[in-house]
Amino acid sequence: MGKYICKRLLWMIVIVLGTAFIIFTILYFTPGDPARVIAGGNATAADVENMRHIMGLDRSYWVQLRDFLYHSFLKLDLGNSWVYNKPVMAELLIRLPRTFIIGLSAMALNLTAGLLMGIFAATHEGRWQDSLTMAIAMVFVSCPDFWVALMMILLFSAKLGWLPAYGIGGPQYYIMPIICSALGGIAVNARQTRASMLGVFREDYITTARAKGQRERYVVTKHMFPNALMPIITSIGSGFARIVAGSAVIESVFSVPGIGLYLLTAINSRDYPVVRACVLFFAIFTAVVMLLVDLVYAFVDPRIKAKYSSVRRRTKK
Amino acid sequence: MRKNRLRPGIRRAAALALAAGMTIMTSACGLGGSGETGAGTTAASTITTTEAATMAAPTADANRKTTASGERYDKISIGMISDPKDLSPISLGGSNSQLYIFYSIYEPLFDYRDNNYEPILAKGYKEIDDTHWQVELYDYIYDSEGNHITADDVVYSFEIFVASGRALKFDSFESIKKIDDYTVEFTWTGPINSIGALEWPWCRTCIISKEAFDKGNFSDTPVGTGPYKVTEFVPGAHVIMEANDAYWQKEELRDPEHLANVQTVQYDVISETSQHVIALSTGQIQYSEYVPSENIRDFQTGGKYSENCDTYITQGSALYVMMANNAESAITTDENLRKAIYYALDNDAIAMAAGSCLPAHAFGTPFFPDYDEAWESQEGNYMGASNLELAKQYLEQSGYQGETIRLLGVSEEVMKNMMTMSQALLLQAGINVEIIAEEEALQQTDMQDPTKWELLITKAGGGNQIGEWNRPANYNEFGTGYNMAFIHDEELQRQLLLCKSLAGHTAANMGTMHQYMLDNAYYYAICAPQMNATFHKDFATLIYRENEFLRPGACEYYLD
Repeated sequence: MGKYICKRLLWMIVIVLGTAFIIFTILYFTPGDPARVIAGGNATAADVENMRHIMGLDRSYWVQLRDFLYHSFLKLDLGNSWVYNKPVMAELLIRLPRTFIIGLSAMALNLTAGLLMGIFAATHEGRWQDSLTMAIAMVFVSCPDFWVALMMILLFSAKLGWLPAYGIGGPQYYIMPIICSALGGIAVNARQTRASMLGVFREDYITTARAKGQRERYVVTKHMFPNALMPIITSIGSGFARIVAGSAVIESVFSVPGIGLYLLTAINSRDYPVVRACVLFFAIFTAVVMLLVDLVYAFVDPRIKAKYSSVRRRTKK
Repeated sequence: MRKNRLRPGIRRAAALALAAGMTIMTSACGLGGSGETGAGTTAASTITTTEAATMAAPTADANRKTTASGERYDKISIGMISDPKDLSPISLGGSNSQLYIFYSIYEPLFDYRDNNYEPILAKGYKEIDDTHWQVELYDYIYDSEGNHITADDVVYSFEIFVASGRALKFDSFESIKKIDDYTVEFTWTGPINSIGALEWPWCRTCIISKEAFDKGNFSDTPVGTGPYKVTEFVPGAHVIMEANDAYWQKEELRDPEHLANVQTVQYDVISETSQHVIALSTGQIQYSEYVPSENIRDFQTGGKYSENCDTYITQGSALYVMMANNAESAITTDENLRKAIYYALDNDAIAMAAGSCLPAHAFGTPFFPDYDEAWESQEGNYMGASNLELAKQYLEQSGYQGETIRLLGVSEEVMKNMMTMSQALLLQAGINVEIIAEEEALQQTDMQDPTKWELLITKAGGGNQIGEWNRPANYNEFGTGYNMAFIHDEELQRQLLLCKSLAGHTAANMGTMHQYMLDNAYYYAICAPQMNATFHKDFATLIYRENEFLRPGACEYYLD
């Protein structure tokens, strides 16, 4: 198991290096001049050239790439934002908690509500409860999150005055962003859970458990649910990565200064150090989440753990 | 487990009902855009030209108690569309969000008002000779942390600003040196004989203490001499400023735009324009310039939010300009084709489509004191009124064979609407136009490539009318020998420099230059964006720097 984790971590390094190379190259060849954007609309050609020199953009591709890789991976220095004029790492660390609060809370809500809805629908398959639950899930997954956000703001902020419409502060500022972020995931998890549960519903061991006189709740929680968990875990893992990486829309609507908004602002203002850093962060984050998902697989399903261990035994022979 | 199969007919009906519900809900999408310009949604303004042009700034009710009595208003929150990002004085760029805050916490040597340099930190200036001018400071200037500002700090402020690469329009500036503790001497690259030549060096260079800058972090916690000091800055969220009770200037000498009539000013970053409407209606903010045009009526008399709010609509200084590509390879070098294009356009229609804009009737904006209404009736003024017949005549005289003309602009709501309307109007005249809407960074690069466009819409601006003409017309502006429209015209350049000079900046010369540009069909002014200020009724007056940037500390507020 340890060897498996080490192998995955080594692969992660390769993935991150590859991502760094790709994003650097894409940004280098992207049309548009960041020096001109940073210098502003009033800048003359001489001003822009001067700015280009200050930003180091007049150096060759290979020199810039070498410096970027060296500073990012050997000195762990992601550089200074050209727009904020502050170390990117410091700003990321300040913004990370805000994005994570929304992401983790949305994930928890996602998990709880999605699983419960899925189990409820599966155990009432074919009945009106099943249809209603899946209809609700379809509504959740169909509505764009920015539209839901605006509707919630109209209702809860403008009409009722219960919640603040934007900004950061106490817990009340995060309620609407969390709900908006979670809705799509709830629907996906509900449908996935229902499908997985129905997949094991007619297995022989379920019939056996019922025949033995087990209570239905015990059958569902001890036999059906654990065996239906595998696809659900995959869906949750990718959903979490998606919530964090796709936080820009929600953060923009609610003016929450998190990583998503940081990245969006950087793209618009051609702040390449920030774009590179955010993309690297998301790449590492997604890779770590996928690794954790794989580890959870091993924890949940002893067959997978045995397979990892048997690979080690075979190679030792 | 029971199975309850719905009859097929009911299942189908349920599916249809669900699909209809989805369609209705998703048709409510697109409720607001956001961006650096805060353009908002696409609906045209319902404010008529007359209403906008004659709307007066609010004046204080003499029967009510205001901050003129000496008491401060407690707190004001103002909505911004974008993050100021960096509060360091050397990060000064074109961002309005930065400028709002900078003008409250920092001060320059002079303020630029009506083409004059009003002393602020300086007592005045003395011309030693054509290229050496001395500026004397007050000897009792202190910043908000008590650092004494001397000539050394002024020299330092200029040096770091120039070294940052953001010291734009510093063409006249060569160097600065200290003469004594409170006097500095500027060396210019040549005689100062053009309007606004010193606007950036003297009026936009923020003077700070070297000691404070060296040991502090001005990007987050700036220290200036202004009437306010920043107490909290959360990038992307808000900036909170408190009145600087230790403001250095004596009360009797204090500039009326450098007051602190409100104790706390908070700027909230609200990137979604529809959120500005909600924030104003719920009282979370008390001032915003980013309310979408179709919501302005809600805050005016009779509107649903008019109980606590009002609006002040005025013309801004910017101008949307269309110009044709005059590079040799472009088909728009044909003067007849250019005139055909310009006569086919209808500014009233384009301004209506754009929303919150006033149609232009000459190449300029009445916002500037050196704008002359007489230009509107000059011979051959195609901006006066659309003339489709004349457009077709010029088109026939031109060599146009139905080629597609590319119209380049920035992909923001207002400009896209203008381009779409222009395309439709030109099609009426028989001119085929392809719209190329690009994001700003790319557009700024492509507009300097003569192979990428035939028509360009851009936003011009400046400190005065001649300054607004300078950027599109000056062939030295881009270092290529050609101006923004790829024109190299010695006569145009001569007239421009003449109008920019102190002696030559006369109505007659400006009129001559305007006529010359009309005769050659070089530029077409479309419309000027309005400034829609929505404010809480506790504002008794609204005071702006350069008629554009609200000075919350200088405004008067009702206290009863």
